[in-house]
Amino acid sequence: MITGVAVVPSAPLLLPEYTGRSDAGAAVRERSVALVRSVVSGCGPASRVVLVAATDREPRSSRPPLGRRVGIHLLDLAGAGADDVVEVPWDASVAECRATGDALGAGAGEVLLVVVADGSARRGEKAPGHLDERALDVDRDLLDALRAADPTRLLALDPGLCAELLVHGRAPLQVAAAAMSASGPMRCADLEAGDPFGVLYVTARLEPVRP
Amino acid sequence: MRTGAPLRMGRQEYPATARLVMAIVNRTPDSFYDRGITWAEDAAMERVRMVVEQGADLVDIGGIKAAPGAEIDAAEEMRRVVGFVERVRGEFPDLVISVDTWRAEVGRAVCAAGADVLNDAWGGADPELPSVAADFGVSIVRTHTGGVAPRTRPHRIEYDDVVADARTSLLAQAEQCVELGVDRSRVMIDPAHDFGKNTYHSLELTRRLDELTTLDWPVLVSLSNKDFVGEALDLPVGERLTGTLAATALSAWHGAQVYRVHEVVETRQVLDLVSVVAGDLRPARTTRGLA
Repeated sequence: MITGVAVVPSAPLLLPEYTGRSDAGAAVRERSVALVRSVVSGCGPASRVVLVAATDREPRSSRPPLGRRVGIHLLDLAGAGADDVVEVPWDASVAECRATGDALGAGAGEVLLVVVADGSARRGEKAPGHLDERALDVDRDLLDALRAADPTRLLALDPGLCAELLVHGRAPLQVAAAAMSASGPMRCADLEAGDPFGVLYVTARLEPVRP
Repeated sequence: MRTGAPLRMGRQEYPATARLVMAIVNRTPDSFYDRGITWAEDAAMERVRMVVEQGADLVDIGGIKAAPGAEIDAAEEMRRVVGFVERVRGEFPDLVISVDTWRAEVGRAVCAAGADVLNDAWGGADPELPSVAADFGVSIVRTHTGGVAPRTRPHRIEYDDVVADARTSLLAQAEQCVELGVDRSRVMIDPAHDFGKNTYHSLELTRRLDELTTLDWPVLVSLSNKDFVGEALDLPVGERLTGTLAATALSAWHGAQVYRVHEVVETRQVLDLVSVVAGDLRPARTTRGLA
């Protein structure tokens, strides 16, 4: 059973090794850590914390994927740790994501998901992937789906289009969506989004609907 | 890339990786670069405020220009700097204040007024100056001039090896300070570009500065707009900033720690860039490829 979901950004600038004297990611990090802390404390100690992160889109090193490292760092700052890590290929098919998520959501134990996921990195002319106007629509779909805590809409995100638009969170979000489907209805308790560097960062908290 | 040695000035302690800007403040009517623009005390005070705002780590107050000119006796030198040091100290209680003087008598008066560093720019011309530093517990800069008299220009001087000469002289002067009671971390050495040197000498010192920065004494360099920069590029005073900054970067890479300069902002940027490349300082702000 999924007892809570935290969605946090995967920007490398949140890591200490990529922080300058003036901390460009301070506000996003602060918000992410507060959100993780609230989800962890809301779920209680019985929940297993499972980190869901994508592999790197352009791997060049032997280091663990950036999303995984950012997630572990944010958990660490929140005073928590990951009991398990699900590393999903950034370009996994919806079926693969669904299979992974089903297994997570259908289990007997309580599971809290920390999903490291961003929207498009093509949201402006200065964005890492330059501007693609389609990014705004796809990001809107993604945010609407999260606000509605609607797994079906999350699972409807198109892998090919998301890849073109550098939506790095599509696969982890679809793993989480499948887990939510298998577990029970949820609601969005908190969501903030912003794109200070042309990438859509989302911090969101989803919790089970209580009868 | 090298770093220097731990350094103390005033109440400040700096690590071996520090690269510090010492802003020149002239209380002279005739210095070569600023031509008396801060001769009036209020103008000099305004410059102090400006360089502090620009990020200078310390100021170096001088009452006599280095080049030959009208004789300035100790009484006149003191009139120019002692009260001014007192005024700067009053307005900036924590600012490290250096005074450029070779005279022990002047040194004693400025230390009493609140100076933290004696910049003995003429290579120990007055043998009593280190004792003043010891008595007041202040820092001191020892310089290599080849033994020329203060305020003289070099003329047809040759060294077998100018770097070796500087090394021998500076080590002896630095050790002498410690023997006289100056704290070891309060002694800086300065090869004194252009002092007792032609351009070839100053260039060689710049090229081989690592032979001085590895002696375990903090190294100060005074390169700003000097003739060796001008002659290297055939540029007059007023057009030497780029050359000065290039020499600054090379010296920083060699491990010099204190830079006596006219232009604070530009020097600060060069030193910070070197520190960032060296890994001694984080970049200011990073998002490229990391968002």
